[in-house]
Amino acid sequence: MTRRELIRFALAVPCVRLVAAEKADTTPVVIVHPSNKFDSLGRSKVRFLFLRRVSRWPWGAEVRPIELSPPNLLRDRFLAEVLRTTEEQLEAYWIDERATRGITPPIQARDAEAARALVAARPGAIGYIPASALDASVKALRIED
Amino acid sequence: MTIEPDMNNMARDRYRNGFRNPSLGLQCTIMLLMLGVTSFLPAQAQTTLPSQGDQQASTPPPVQPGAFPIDIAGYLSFQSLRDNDLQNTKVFREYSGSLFLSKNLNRWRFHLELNVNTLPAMDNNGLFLLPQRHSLGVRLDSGFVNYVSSDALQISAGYLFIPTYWREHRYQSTTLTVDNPLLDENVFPTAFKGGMIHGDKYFDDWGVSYALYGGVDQQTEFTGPNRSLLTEGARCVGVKVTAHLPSAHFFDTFDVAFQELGRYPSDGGRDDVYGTEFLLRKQRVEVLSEFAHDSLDIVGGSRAYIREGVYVQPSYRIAKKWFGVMRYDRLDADSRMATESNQSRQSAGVTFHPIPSISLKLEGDRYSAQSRERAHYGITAGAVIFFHKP
Repeated sequence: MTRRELIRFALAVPCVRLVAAEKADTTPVVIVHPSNKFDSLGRSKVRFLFLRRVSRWPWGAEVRPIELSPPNLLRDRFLAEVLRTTEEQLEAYWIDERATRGITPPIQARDAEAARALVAARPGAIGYIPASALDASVKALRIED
Repeated sequence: MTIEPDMNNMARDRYRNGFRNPSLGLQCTIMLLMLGVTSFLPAQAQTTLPSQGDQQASTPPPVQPGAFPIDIAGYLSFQSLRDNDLQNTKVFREYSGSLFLSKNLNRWRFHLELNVNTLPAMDNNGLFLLPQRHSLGVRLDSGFVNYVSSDALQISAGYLFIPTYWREHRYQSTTLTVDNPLLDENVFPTAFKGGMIHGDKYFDDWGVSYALYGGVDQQTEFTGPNRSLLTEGARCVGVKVTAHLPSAHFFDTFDVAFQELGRYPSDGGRDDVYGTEFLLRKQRVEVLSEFAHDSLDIVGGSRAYIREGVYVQPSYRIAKKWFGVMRYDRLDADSRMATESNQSRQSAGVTFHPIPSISLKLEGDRYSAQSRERAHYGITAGAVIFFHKP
């Protein structure tokens, strides 16, 4: 390995690590309270829960979605990949829900730690955080297509 | 019964007379009282619903101390129509405001929708809360209490909308057009006093919603060539089923609905109303369509005439805050006058949301009717601001 190649390699390794870490931090992991009986949920089901189309879990607990407040890269990705909507469309959706059914948007957590704490404190809660923020206080759900 | 003079103009069709029950009615009063009482329940009641509102939180707040006791939302709207065929005036303007008051208590939800506007004769729905004046109307558009046994079984009672798509989602803050479709208010009744059992069941990739309802409706009757308008409450029973179809995630929304309603006016006849709805969304594209048919005055199995309407509304999100929309709209208000009652309208417009709570709309309309040799044109503009607390 030449000296030039060594320098390139030395520079590339941290860059790859940085990109990988950033990717992990912008990949939303759906979390629920540890008492939640589900280990996995379909993507559409998760969408119904966050849009408050479903208000109770099968065992009767009230569904309490927790979302990250904008602007947030993780939130953008969750909206695009799971809710399949944009910030503007989601705002319009909640205006419609307020007017039509009197249903308000989810609680917004300021950051991942706050979201995790809110989910850990409420049996019916569901939220999303980056994988790097996971700990034993919450349960990560596997999302199935 | 109310009589409206001949307008002989489709743009002026919107000047329909409304329900003329000046009394608030016992149930509305009770609803207001319930909402007022529940609004000021002690904070203990709030602990049952800490998830209300869109409050931010950095630590788990099991109780929201000082949280506003009810959810208040609403919008202020301005509309202006310029038409090259209005007989008396070339332009009309309307200012309106709607206020939504909601309160959730465990499995109970109380909801009121109030509306104030400066052209009360334009709207054909709601119960007037104050004596109507020429330039000001204050109405209760809906008011109900909803009990949630489960998502699949909910019970509502009060003054409710007939659950057609446009009736339920007609709010100027969210519609892409300023004008309502021609069939809205003209085929299905707009609202009724009574009860509804409804619910949703969602599975992994699809779901079903249903509504069974009954009560006394609010229906308009167009009769005769002069388009006199009768308003009469009749007993009605209806059912609606909506399928949220699976598409293997190809579509964001793929909903198809069917609704049937029977009306039993006091004169002994019967009206059969049915309709379909179609809503498709994929990324930037949305297609919305409704069809409604009414067979009226059925006596001994034969109907006197029909009323029928349809619209198709494709829209496209041009950019983050810009939407383009088109609509083909058609209404046959009375099949007995085939040359006079067929109306159609083609609209194209843009909607701009500088921020999500503000909508600015501009659309051009082409109106045509079988009774008229030439089509005429109009331009409609609207500005809406939405607010809420908390």
